[in-house]
Amino acid sequence: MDIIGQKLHKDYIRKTGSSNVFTALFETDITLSSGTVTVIHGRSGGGKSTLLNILAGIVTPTSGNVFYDDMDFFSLDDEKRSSFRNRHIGYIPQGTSAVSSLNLRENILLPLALCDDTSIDTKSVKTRADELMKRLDIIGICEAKPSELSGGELRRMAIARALLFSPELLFADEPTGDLDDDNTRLVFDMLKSSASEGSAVLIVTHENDIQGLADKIYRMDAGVLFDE
Amino acid sequence: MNLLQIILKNIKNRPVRSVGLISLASMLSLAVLFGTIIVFALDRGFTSLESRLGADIMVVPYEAATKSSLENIVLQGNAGYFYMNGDVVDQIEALPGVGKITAQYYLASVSASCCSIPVQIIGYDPETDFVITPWITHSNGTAPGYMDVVVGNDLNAFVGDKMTFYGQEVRVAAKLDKTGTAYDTAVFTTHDTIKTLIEASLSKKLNEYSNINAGNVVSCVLIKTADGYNVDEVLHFVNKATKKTKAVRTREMISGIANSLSGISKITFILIILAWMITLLIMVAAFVVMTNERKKEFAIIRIAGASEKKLTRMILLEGLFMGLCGGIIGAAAGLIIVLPFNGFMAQILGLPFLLPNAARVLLVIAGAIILTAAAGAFASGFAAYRISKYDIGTIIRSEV
Repeated sequence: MDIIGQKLHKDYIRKTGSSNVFTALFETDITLSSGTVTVIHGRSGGGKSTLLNILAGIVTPTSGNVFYDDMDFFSLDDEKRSSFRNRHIGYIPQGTSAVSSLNLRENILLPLALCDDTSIDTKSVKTRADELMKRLDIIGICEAKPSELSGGELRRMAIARALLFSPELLFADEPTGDLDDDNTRLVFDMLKSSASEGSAVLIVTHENDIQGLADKIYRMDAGVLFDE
Repeated sequence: MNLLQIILKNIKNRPVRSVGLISLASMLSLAVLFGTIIVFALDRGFTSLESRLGADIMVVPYEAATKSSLENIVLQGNAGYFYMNGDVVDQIEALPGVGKITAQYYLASVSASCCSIPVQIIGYDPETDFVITPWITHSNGTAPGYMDVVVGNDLNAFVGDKMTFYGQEVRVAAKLDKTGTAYDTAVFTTHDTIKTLIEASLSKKLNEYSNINAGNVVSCVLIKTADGYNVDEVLHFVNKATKKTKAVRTREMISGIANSLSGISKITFILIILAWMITLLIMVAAFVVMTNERKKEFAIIRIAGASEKKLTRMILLEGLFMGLCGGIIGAAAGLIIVLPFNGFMAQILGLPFLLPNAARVLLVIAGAIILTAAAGAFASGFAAYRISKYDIGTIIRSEV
């Protein structure tokens, strides 16, 4: 599945100097192809996460369209968009992202708990969760609560959750921001292998050392996307 | 794991917050149940008292007609007696507007084997009575014969027991249903028996009225007005035609109680509303704080595929569930307090008090639980509405 962002623009209403409007993203075009890793890097506050969140359907653009193949994503109502996100999009948020009352395994299985698709093979999804936990080396702590886990373990948990349904589209917001070298390498390996399985992967990061990972690299600054 | 399990885990794994909210909800439920049952019990007690009085007009000796004296005996259950000439019954019966008429006879025991305090003995004429007899019939009791008595529900005497008043032995023929009024501690008997007891009290010089003829005295005359006459009219006829007596409206006698009852009901109702609003406000505040603390979690749930509707439903169900738990616990606690201690509460209130029947108690329980669950759902619904307006993109990047 390809994602096409057309003339994506995002204004936020907030007090900035003499104006109430802050533009996070200026009319931006972008295409993400399946089987490729696209990286957007740049300074913090440059609009990278806004673009990623719009493409993932989490933030509504002020203007512009997002197409998933031929489907205009924002023409869907919230119910359908959420359902699509649940089944087809994997999202690794910035920082820690756990539901504190659920243990590690339950956190990974969260998309399954929220899935309305009755045709889904629950058993195979659970098996996939176990496989992901093994690959990410967190199977031994699958009963642990988020409060008992380190930053690296929580990040690996978020990756496993994002990959649970083998998504066609995978978004990662600063996926290695607070990780050590070993964990960073593991995260990049997982993202690359997901792309090699056919996913369109988009990573936004403020780190510059990502050349080896990306098929396509963009730089973003002050809401404007530059091809590199 | 499904949505419901996530909700239950949220409740279970945040014990302090959950226990706090459930306790709050249970207090609301307890207040609603307790307050409503008290209001209903007072109302039922009053209705019971009204039907026990059963007459429109009560004619008593003039000196006994001061409201406090009558109320002491008829309403408060204090043992006492007074007499007037029995000829007054025929005099009144001949008056226009008098439908049914019957006489009653009062005597207070000096002591009785059943009780630590003097007991009010009320005699009635089975041939003309329209007040006591229906009640005995309703209680499935046997009409008392000569030297038989029927005892009020609160007296420690049972069918077949023997009791002694002024040296005269009587047999308990029946025990009445509870009325929640002073009649629950009284003893009822026929006019023949009470005349024997009055004579015995006179011969033992234990009666305050030493010069009366026990065969020709009555304590009060009860009148039911005939169709086509109003009570005031008949009251006027009676007061004009009889001497040394006073006719009073029975409703007037219980107007003080009606006023107290209305006052207590209003205050209780206001307190229930107030308790509900305060609890609701606290619950709303608690849920708003709780959802603010968990907004990043909610953003994660949204990202994982929950729609706004689903997330709202999840938060709402969490509140509803905690409200329901609190409602059930509070209702159970309310019942534990109300049922065993209703006698004590009646004593404190000093008003007719009769617990509602089982069906009505069940309705009150259901009402208290529903009201509390609704408060939980409303509080969480309000918080859910607020959280649904947040921008997920901003929340997910925050460290909150």
